[in-house]
Amino acid sequence: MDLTLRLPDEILTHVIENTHHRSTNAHNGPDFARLPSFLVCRRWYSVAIGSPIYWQHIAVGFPAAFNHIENFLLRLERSSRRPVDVTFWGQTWPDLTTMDLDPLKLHLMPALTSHLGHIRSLKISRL
Amino acid sequence: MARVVLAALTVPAPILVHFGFEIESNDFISRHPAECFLPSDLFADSAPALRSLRLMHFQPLWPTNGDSIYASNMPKWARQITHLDLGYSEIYPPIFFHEAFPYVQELKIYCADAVSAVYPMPGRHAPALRRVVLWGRVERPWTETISPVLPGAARISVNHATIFTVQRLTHELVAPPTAPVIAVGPPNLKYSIIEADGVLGYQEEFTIRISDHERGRTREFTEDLGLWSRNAPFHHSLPTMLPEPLEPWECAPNELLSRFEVINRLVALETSLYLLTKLAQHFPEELPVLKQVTLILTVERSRRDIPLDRKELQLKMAPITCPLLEVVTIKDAQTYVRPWRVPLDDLRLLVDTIFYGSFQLRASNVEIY
Repeated sequence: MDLTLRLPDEILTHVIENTHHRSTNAHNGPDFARLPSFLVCRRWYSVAIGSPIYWQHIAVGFPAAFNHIENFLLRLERSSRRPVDVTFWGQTWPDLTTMDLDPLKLHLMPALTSHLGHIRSLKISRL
Repeated sequence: MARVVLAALTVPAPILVHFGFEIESNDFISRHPAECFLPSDLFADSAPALRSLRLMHFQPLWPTNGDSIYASNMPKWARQITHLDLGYSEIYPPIFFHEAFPYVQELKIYCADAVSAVYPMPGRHAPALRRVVLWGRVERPWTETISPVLPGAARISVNHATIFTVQRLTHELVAPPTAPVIAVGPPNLKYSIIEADGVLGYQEEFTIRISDHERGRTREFTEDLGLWSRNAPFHHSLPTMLPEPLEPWECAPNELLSRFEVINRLVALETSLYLLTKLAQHFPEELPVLKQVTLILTVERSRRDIPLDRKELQLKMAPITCPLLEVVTIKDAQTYVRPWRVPLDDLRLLVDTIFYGSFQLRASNVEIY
């Protein structure tokens, strides 16, 4: 029997947040795709995405893989109108002449514009 | 890319507390000068909670046609900023900083070339300023001018209970171990070249410093070998701490100064061997008034790349005749390891391959045997 089923969501949230803190990268924020807590079961997943840690600090690197952009946009959406800290970071010395700026123009920046009203901290680094 | 991002930030940001924008320097270089400033409609001039601003490779002030009333041209939110981080900006406007950011409590400056530009100027008010952190190569281009600024700042700190903290990164991380200098002589102007060492891969970039010692004025222009080769005008102006108005020779782009003039009026030269071999390709056969030379052995090159092989050096540069040369100093800038040991004969051979003249050979942090 899964004993964690006896844990209330609040306790489970603390457990998951503790996992998030340990997994947080100083530059990128938590890499949620790799967090074990998201992969345990449906309940853990739903509790995890309800955790403030999940939506408070949102980061995306650029150029970014499509799933990273999707993840970024999803978290921004799920944050609703709650205060969030957003970080954009670019790779060192990007080749601006060959870089595809479409994801930035078509997806990331419109999302940034529409969510700027509830962004508490905006860091754009090495872009 | 910066333009794309900034274009998205022209809507109100009601709860934004911190905004940091750090772009890559190659984007900065490729930009039009007008793009060095944040757009005036950033956050639609509405960011009431904004208190912390961090700008790298960006100008914090907004330009106007005249140098009056910068403050009136600033967005409203700039006046609320209490924590301000600036860095790598090359053309800070020299005055009106504190009128633009009147409530800054903590000011951090990274790798700035003109500290005085953002320092409280005598007679200017910075009532909220509590702490200034200078970080990086602040001492590199303006050594002689920064020192009188600090006492001035200290006076302000007494009046306004300001605490000044000066932190310098170690040379190995940011600045070259020692700034190579070329100085050029009479009548009034003294020319210098400061090499940005290869630590960060800018080994072909250097700065020409022009000083009028009689009047105590100094001006600097960023150069690189590519510009030098094309004989482009001195177009990158580093900031000045001088009172306005500028002398014609202090302005940039500067058509009054030619590289030929710089070269032919060199009286002192302090540079790495690497840069010297590159510059020498543009030197004439004779440097008629050169009196002092310091060859700096930098961290990377002190062990591996110093060509003690005469033939190797001869392939890189032709010897320069220096009739007035008095002293050649070999200097290892790496002071925290054992001094570089080199046989005197090898060193003499090396220097004689570079310069024709009658001069004294000296060593600094180099062990000659």
